[in-house]
Amino acid sequence: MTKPILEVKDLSVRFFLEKEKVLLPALNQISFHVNNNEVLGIVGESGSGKSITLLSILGLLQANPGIISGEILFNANEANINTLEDISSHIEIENFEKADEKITKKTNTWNKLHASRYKKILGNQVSMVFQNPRLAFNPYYSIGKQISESILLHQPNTDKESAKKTAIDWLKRVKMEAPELRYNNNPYGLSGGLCQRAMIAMALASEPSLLVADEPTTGLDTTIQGDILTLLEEIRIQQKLSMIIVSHDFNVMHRLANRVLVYYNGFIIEEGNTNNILDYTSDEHHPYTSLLLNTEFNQHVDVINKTKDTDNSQSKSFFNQCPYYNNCLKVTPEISNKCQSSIPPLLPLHDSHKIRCWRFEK
Amino acid sequence: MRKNNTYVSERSKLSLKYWFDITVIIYCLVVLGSVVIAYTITTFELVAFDYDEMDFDAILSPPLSAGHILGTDYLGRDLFSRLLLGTQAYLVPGIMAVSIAIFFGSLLGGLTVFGSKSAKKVIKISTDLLQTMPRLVLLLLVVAIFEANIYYIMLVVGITNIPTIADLISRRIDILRDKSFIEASIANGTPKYTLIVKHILWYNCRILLIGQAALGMAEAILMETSLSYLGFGVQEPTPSWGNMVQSGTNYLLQGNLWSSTIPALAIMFVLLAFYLVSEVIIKRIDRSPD
Amino acid sequence: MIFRAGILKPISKTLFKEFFSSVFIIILLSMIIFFLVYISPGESLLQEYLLNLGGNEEEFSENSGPINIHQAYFSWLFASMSGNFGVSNSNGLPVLGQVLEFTANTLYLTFSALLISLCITLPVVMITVSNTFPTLSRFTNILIRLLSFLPLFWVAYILIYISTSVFDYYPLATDYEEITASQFILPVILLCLGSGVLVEIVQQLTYEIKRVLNEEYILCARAKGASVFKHLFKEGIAFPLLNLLSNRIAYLFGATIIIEQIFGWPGIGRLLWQATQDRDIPLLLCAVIICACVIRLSHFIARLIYVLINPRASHE
Repeated sequence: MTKPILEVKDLSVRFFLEKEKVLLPALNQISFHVNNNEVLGIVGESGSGKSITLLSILGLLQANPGIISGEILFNANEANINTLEDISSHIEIENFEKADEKITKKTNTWNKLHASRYKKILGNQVSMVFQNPRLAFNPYYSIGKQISESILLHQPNTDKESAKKTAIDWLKRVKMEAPELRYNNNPYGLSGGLCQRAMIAMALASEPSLLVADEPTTGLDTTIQGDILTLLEEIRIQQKLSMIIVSHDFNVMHRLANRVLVYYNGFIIEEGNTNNILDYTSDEHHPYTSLLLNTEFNQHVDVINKTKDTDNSQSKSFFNQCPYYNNCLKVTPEISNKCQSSIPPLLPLHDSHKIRCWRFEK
Repeated sequence: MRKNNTYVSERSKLSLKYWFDITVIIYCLVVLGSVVIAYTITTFELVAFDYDEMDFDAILSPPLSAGHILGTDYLGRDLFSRLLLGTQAYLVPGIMAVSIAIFFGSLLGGLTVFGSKSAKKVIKISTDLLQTMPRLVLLLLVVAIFEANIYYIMLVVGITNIPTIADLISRRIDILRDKSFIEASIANGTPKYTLIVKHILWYNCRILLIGQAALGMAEAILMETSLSYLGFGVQEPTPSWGNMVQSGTNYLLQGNLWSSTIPALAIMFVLLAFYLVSEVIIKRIDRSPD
Repeated sequence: MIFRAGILKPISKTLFKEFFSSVFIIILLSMIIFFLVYISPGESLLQEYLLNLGGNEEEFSENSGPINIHQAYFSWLFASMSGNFGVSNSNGLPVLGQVLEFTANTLYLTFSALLISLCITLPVVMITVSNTFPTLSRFTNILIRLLSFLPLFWVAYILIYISTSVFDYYPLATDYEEITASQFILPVILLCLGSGVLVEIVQQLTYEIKRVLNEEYILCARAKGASVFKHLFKEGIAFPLLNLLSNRIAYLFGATIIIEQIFGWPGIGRLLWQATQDRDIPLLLCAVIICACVIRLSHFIARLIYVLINPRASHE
């Protein structure tokens, strides 16, 4: 069996809110892997930590204290390049309450160390497609220049002329009309769809083995969404890419993903093959996933009546109960005690389907 | 880690940064407080300071000499009382200059973006005109035509500062226009006045404006000292820190350092306090991710 | 390649627009200055000056009573447009040549000061923004402010005092023809410190860079492994600097008066001051106009560079 192209183990991220003096848990013990030639989808509501996962994978998370534990391994055989060493040696997690400044300092130094390691990774092995291509392109350079810049950065033996040729070639491959003219266009002169195509071209131009896409179709109209998805699919097959695609849209998952993770509030609550996850007739789902699936596929279901009245005033500690307990409609009296007192682990159901819910404990 | 349910952390009381912040705040309070006290005492003559009494036995005496805490100047006048009285020359006129610059600057800055086309043109030309004029020449001419009154000087300083602030504000609004909250609040039916004053100037430009206010205060006070050097500032025998430094420097090259150094340092400390206050305020209200 | 397709049109448009607005502003300015001179005491001097210009003598002859302001202004304007700014009241030489020479001296001083202040401030800003040494950056920031908050001429005197008493060297420009490097250094350093250039550059640039660093395209540049500095440069550094420097030149022209006065530097600031002191009207008018031209020119160049490097400018 080949080793996975990316492996994330026990990734936890915290944000320190200086005014409230609260440590906000953003990601909790996230573990997953992406195999060669596989598309991993991440679904979840906004604020559930999808984008934070991507940013931490790319080492772009700029927060205090940020990543507090975990390992991110690219191409396990060259693991040492980017292993997050045991961070607890850098940061004493137990002392969070007392010495936040120490932590800030230590995470700062650690982040710098980390950034120097990432230089070899970014662009060469992994590149990212951003959600809002208009903001993600530098408005003061033409898109062609920005594409050839990423070619020049990652293929040191090319000269400017051939980089320009390759960039135009890439623009052609993402199906831009008149690529020679578009080369000189500035991002604000392009429509959203064209900009997203250019963004994909830029991400792929450095020829990475893993493409990370953060909601690539959000903010585009439906026909263009379809085009972009087709394009991503085609190019993925051509380039033999692995991909992580983040979206809140099940259609995207259906079109592209092989496996899907469902996020809720910084936890992975369900994990499995696309067929299993998207099977809305089945009952073997986390209650949150079934709610999502129902709203997506059985639109006649009245969602509002189906959610429980949340009583936040009584909500207990974040880590002492199931993260979905307050909204859960499927709590049975037998397990209710368990739900209230501990976080369920990801319980395996069958082959690769795992659910974080006590109902599926055998 | 998981058993912890209170994820509240306290600022370490012993850290260097904490003490640094405390020192800064105490410093600002002490300096600005004493300026205000000096101003009220001298304005309402609560304590009589004889700033003009000449002590010919103690000309140019160093600080801590008998009867004179901070020493005396070239006529034997007590530097401490002159320093206290000197606050009168600055405080109100300086604040006047700053408020003129900030009020009209933000007004014009807002108008360059939201005003009608002809208003924009008029504003552009008038700000350009103010920027083109060498400021000290204008000051010298005004002083020559009217008189060397601190209020005239500060009026000119305030007016000549308008273009800088107008420029800053209009550039800031230009940047904000890319973000869609302006269109959103127009669509919400927010009146234009509320939009400009509250959403743009208050929420988005206050950091800039507070920084500029501290700088403007510094510029106004330093401008008066510069004019004092040329002999156009506050006129003797009325003391101002500017003319105190100026009269002191005449004796500096002979080695009498104190009579000019003390007012010069006073200027520096007060301006530093203004700057630090602005920094503290900015830190308190700055919500943007650093 | 700097020249993009279709760049010539916005450039020529800018050139055209800026040129005419500059001419308009300079004429307006001359009116204001002329008016201020007219209402300032010493009216007979103006009359004498206009006589010396070689205008029709009947019009401004001494016995025809007080002169009319618009008549006087237009006769001055036409004379000066043909390059005849008259002769100085105090030394009888043509003022234009004098003013140009002194302006060149001041520009020499001003540009060196701007250059040095850039060399000082850019590292400070970079340290502050990169947050590598937070304590160091805080102290350098405060130090720069401390130095800028001191009265300029006091610092000058202190430096002269140190130079004479410690190094036994008197750093004044006594010979106008030959100004040595050592005579040049002190004024330039003082001009950096005392004119608020340092504080303003540090404050504005730090603010702008921090703002741009939060933009999404910087994150994107990081994600593709490109240099952040390169992507930051135009919006975060070049545009604010262009603006700051072109605005500061006007201010520096004022601030030089004191430096030139202390160090005996033959510059335009000192000339202006003496002209106001002596009521040397031809000299004053000519110097103000030349100053205004230099300031407009610097704005003009800044604007041109802005249009050249910002592709969006042509859309504005």
